[in-house]
Amino acid sequence: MTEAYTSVGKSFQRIDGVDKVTGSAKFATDLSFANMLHARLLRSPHAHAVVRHIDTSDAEKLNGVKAFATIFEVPKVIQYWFFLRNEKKKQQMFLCDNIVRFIGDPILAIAATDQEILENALALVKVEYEPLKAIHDPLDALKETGVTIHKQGNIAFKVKKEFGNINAGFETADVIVENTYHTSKQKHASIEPIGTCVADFQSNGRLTLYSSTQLPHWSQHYLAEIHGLSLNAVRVIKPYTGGAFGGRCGLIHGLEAMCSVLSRKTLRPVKMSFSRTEDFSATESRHPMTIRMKTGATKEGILVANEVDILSDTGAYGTHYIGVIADCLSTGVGLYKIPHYSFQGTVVYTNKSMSGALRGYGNPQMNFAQESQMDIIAQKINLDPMEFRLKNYRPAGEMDPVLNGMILSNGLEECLKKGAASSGWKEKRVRPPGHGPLKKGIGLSIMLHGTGAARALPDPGSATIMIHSDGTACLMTAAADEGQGSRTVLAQVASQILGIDFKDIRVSDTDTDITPLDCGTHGSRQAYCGGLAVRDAAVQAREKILVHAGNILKTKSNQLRIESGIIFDAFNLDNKISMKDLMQKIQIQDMGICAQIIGSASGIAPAMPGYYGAVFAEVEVNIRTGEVKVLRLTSAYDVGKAINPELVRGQIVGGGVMGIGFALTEGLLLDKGHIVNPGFSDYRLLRACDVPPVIPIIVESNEPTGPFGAKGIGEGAMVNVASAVANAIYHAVGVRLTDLCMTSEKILGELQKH
Amino acid sequence: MKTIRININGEWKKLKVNPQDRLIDTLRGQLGLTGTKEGCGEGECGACTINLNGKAVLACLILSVQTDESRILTIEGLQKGLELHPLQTAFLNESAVQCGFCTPGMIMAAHAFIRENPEPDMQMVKECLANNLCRCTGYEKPVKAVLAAACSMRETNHD
Amino acid sequence: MSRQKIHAQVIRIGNPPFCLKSYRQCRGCFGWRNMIRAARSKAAWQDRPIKCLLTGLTLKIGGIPEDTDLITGGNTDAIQLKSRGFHKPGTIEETIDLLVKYQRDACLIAGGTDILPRHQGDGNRLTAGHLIDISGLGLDYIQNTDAGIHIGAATRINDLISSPVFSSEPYGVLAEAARVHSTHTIRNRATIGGNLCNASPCADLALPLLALDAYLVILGPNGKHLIDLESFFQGPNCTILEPDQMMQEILIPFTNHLALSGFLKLGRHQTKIDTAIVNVATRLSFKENDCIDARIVIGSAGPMVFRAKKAEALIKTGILDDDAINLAAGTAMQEASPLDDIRASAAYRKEMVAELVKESLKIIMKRSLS
Repeated sequence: MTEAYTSVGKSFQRIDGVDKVTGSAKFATDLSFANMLHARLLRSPHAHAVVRHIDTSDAEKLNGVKAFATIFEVPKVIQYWFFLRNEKKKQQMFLCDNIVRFIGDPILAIAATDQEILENALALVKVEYEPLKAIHDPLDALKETGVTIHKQGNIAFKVKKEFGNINAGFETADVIVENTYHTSKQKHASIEPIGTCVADFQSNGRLTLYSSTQLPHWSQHYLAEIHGLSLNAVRVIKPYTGGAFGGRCGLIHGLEAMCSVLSRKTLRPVKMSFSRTEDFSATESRHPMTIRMKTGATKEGILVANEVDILSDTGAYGTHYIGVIADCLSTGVGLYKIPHYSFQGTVVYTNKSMSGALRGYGNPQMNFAQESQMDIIAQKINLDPMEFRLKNYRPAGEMDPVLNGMILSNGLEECLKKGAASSGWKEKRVRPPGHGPLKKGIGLSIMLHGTGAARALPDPGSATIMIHSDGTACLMTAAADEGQGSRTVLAQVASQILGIDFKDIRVSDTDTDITPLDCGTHGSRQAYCGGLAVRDAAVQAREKILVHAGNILKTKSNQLRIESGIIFDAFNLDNKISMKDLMQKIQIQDMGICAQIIGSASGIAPAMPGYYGAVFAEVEVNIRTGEVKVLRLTSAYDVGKAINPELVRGQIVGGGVMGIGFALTEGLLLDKGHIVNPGFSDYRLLRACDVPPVIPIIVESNEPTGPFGAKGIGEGAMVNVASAVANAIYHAVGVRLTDLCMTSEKILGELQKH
Repeated sequence: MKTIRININGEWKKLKVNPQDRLIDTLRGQLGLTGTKEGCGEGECGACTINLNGKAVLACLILSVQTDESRILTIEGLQKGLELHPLQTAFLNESAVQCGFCTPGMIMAAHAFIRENPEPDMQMVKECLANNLCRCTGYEKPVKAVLAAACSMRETNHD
Repeated sequence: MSRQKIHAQVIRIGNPPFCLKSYRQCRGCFGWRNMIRAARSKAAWQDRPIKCLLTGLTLKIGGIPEDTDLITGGNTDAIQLKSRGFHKPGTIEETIDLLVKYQRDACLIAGGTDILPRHQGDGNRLTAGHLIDISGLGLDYIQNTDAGIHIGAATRINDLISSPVFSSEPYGVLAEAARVHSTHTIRNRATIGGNLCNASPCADLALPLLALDAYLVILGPNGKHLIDLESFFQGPNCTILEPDQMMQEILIPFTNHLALSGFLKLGRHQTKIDTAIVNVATRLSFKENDCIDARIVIGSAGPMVFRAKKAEALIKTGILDDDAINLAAGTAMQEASPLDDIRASAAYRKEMVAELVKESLKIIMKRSLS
């Protein structure tokens, strides 16, 4: 059945567009309050040290210096998610000690009346350190070196899972491929630097925090815990956010906690803003991983066994380390029907800036390894890489052994077929690479990513809708929009169900005082989890509207319909009333009613549906210099249902370009714990003049549990780009790159080995 | 402190500035024009692109004292009342905005560029936006928006 | 010997320059750690002064014992922030007076695209000494005279691209380098004089100017004099300019013969505009079909942009064919003394010197035949 939707599936202009093109959108960095102080952090120059003493006496004498907050008194919030559920574990989230564990680890924060005084004050603080031996290489964290980064040891987490019998599996294999892959420490590099907030602790004992966070409600919980406040005494307001990509998924190390303590001490608003250098060198990054993978298949091209061993480097503290390694497991196992699968993961601490969440979580790392393996096997048994995937992927109707649920929608086959047709896969696959130094090739890879995290975490979504007396509506949701457009999409869902024009739906700002508990933006979840909550809230409001309309129109409410703001009887089209007139009547005119129409819903998503995608990368390799140019990406993704197709395409193209960066140019470089490229001149993002065409293809498989069939997209679009590029390089010149990012120097090195 | 006189979005103003103040500090601080964003402070990201005497320049790489007697146009000066500039309309129509942090800079880079090159092709636009980093869009839609705006400005003789 | 004031002493007692302290590199700089390592092991680096653009400190490694720890150390008192001032002189005389008055504390500024990012502390505050803005001196011009092409030191890089002067051989090579020097927006402010005075070993515009045998007009309290560009560069980020001297203009003499030139730049892949991993400019002059003069200029592969003179000699004395080109490329590679930095390793850079020289000469050979 095809339904003609009025709002869903339409590419409406985003609701925050005018604010953003006129410069009136206020980001956290734009906020300023009367009597506001500025704060900055003093950071550790040592990779590992005990802070023996902090002498602030000279700095205190400076006129304009108002307060200090040191690591002796402010706990670091070091773990997320899994720990909130359990009181005992919750206490472990808040570490307060005098050890600094990476270069850039905060030691104290100073609040002062202006930046210049701050700078002078910071220079006057004397810190006595006792330097400790540091661990820079994750392999050293596994050894007995006598260096202990955390009390419980240097191994943060270990996981081992086996499905089937791995040894028996390999015995049935005709081809076995084993390789080790390395992935880089990619940075979010959102254009608004990570790390700006204003904390306003007022004399009434209440704390208001303005912060560009992805998780406003969890920030509220963490801060309440730090300050010993009840939740209703902590209010988190999220202004516009200049991109997040996982970088604002939790409190920022040293930011909100220290800033709010300074505000509590001074009872004045305090603003702290990290510079780009601080963003790059002291906030979270992607987990660098070493992945050993052994994969077996029969000569007919049926996968039989995969053995995975991952060493993941979480840096100095572990925030998302469990989720990230779990994501490697779930996406690796979920994508293919491999009867025998053994997964082992070890997460270690090192004295580096911490790793955390970044678009795709652990999936881009895992996908790079696993999809490279698949390509190698397909080539060994002389099977077209696409055919090989079609034979082995886990289609709808299969059980997902990790998530323990049946796959209800999977449009991967359509993604592959449409992507192949659009990219010219078949012809380009057999085309000779070329005569001169420039060789062309094409490669593909596929991916699966979960929507939300309902299987693993407390992952609530909720929404409230209020109808005004002129028939327009306000949607209150804490579904934090970081730029992806979730507020627009959620307004479309509300509009579709309420029959109110899209332009008449306003979406509130995200403010924990007015928007009900929501798990925030992560895991590509807002169109799905947020969408479900908004759908249910809108259905409730609609039911209330129809009851009143039924009374007024003297008809059964179940035969009423709403379209474009008109409520009418489906069996008598002339019997109608406009939403405006109805609301006017029941809210204001009829003193006997004075009804408010408010719909509210909340809950946990019923599933964690996978969304799928195929990327086809066409490259040109210069065999004399090792330079690679991605000529074109064709990215086909199954998003269930595109509620706003243009926004979906925006995610696919943006993710594609970020994926090319992960493949070719991006990664923080470290020298004994120092990040040596903490700026855009040497951490190289692609620029407008560098990007190839990225062709987005939307596939709609209609996820039965999703709102109007929708599931996620945000993270997925970058997940399998690096693997597709690596596979294309192999096709062009026959060398296999296993180390990200794939610089021209590494490629030339591989070429010269041949 | 030095006194400078600048024309900001059509209005001449006298300002007292410190010799080390960058233009971006004066715009965002003293003048409250926060539409101009700071993403790196070293001229790499372009979020602070404004027009100085008709040229696209980076407000983080210019000292306020250097702009004495200059004409400065920021994103706030593009709109006429509630009427958007064709570039702003094009960025909306083409879905060229995601988080929006780089958007003012992109629009101002394009604004100066279209005046110099009223009929740009795609390659020229890509070069025009080369100093404006964007992490969300992958540039495809902003490039299309600038091309569309140039086209509509030619048709309507918009300056 | 260079008249640079050498600050080795400051380093020796344990004061790291800011760029070392914060562990970051200035734009186009290889980074102090890498340069110090090179200065201890590579002949080409040993007698060269190295200047930290962030602090103005100049250091010569030659003579400092190997075991001296140049890197660690606590206090940075010796590099205290200077007083802040801004001057916008209206004449060259006033400018020189200010330079004489403030000496090392003075810093000329035109476009500011290198100076301002350099002076960003972590809190993004400008921490320069006396800035002297030379944009009001009328040094923004491109003129032809009998002597050649005169380019004012404060000429914006975009103006080089739009000028008809640089649309024909062999001078077009300057516009070619200008196009990939930086982005359009940066080039609206950045000046040719700034690019040269910065003396980065990667400086894109220095290469074509060396290939075109450019001279510089230098002004100082003792008047005006002309020097060739080659002797202007002293080491990484170091020029021959005294603190009270400034560059007025660049002079490119006309060539008498048919000459062809080219510029190639290798950045990180997939990038159109990037700090070079290696850059190369070449110019060959022909009389009838014989190559009578050659310039092979290499950047990012030594303490400064340099001419590969042995390779040049091989080209100008023989017939230009594939063998000659391969030999010259191999020789140029031998003349390069690159170092490891975060953009590429020394070994890769060396190979790429040969590759780019080969490519550049082949392009010229092809064009000379047609």
